[in-house]
Amino acid sequence: MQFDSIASFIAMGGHALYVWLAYGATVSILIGSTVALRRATKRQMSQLRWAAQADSDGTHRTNRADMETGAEVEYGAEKI
Amino acid sequence: MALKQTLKELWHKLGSPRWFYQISGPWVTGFGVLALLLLGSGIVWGLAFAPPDYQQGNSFRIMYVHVPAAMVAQSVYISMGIAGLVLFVWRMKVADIAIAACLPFGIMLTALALFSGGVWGRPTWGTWWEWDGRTVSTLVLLFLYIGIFALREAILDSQMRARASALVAMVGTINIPIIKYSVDWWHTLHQPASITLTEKPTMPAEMWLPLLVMVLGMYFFAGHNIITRMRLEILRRESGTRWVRNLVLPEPTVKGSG
Repeated sequence: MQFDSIASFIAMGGHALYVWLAYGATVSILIGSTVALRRATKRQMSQLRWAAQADSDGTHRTNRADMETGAEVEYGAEKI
Repeated sequence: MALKQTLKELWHKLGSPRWFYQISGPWVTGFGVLALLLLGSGIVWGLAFAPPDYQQGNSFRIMYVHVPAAMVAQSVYISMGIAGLVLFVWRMKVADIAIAACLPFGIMLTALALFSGGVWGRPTWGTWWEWDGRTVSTLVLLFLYIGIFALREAILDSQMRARASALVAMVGTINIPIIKYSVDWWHTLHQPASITLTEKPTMPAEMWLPLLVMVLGMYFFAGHNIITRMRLEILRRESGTRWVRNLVLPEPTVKGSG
């Protein structure tokens, strides 16, 4: 530990503003983007679940070819 | 050649968004755990345990967040350029998904590098911003990321969007060596690299070890963030396919019964 007290740790030898701004921005970006991404994934999953449920109830039909034939498509490089 | 055959098959499979989704689950977890451990310990180490710099005092601790952000922002751009090449040559869908996933992360990290550079520059150089080779070329990197992002938003046709963004991603990689050598070409404010792969570090181990931990942590975080974003993008694009349906509804209901 390079600091002898909590106060001197916070003060950062007079550079508190700069050090804490840089670390604060870094930590908020790391946590913020992870949380946002997690929420977006959850939202997408529940939307997909809803659509799949509606589809199996017969209230909504998708007509994707592989769904109609029921054939499992082989893994393969998909091109644009 | 058995190996050649295996590699060819792997390459072929890697082009399938579904296969990518299915194998990448454990990577996301692994990278996430490693990123959390490394960044968590690196931040504490850098903030409280690394010795202060004899000239800069405690403001030098900003290095532990500034350098990893800048390094990873450039590496992500290089990966995006490679994805652009793969898309252009082999037309792989997964490469387009990778480009789409790199963009938001790249914007975020380049902005962080510029911001942390500014707050480090203020106490060290006496200014938040200087039109210096390194800072300007990093600003160009940010504009490249934002430009490709905007380009993708503007083009409605998916094939055109993929090709246009791949092309700009590839052309933009020319900026990476410019960023790297800017500190040698223009002797202005930004200091040259203190640590390189080929020479001994100019700082003691107790100063560069936390930096190494932070850089590694940031790379794992990039892997975690970008692959998670790719998986989300795959779910969006593949919604309505049988495999995504089976993914969200584990027990498929029999059609036409009842």
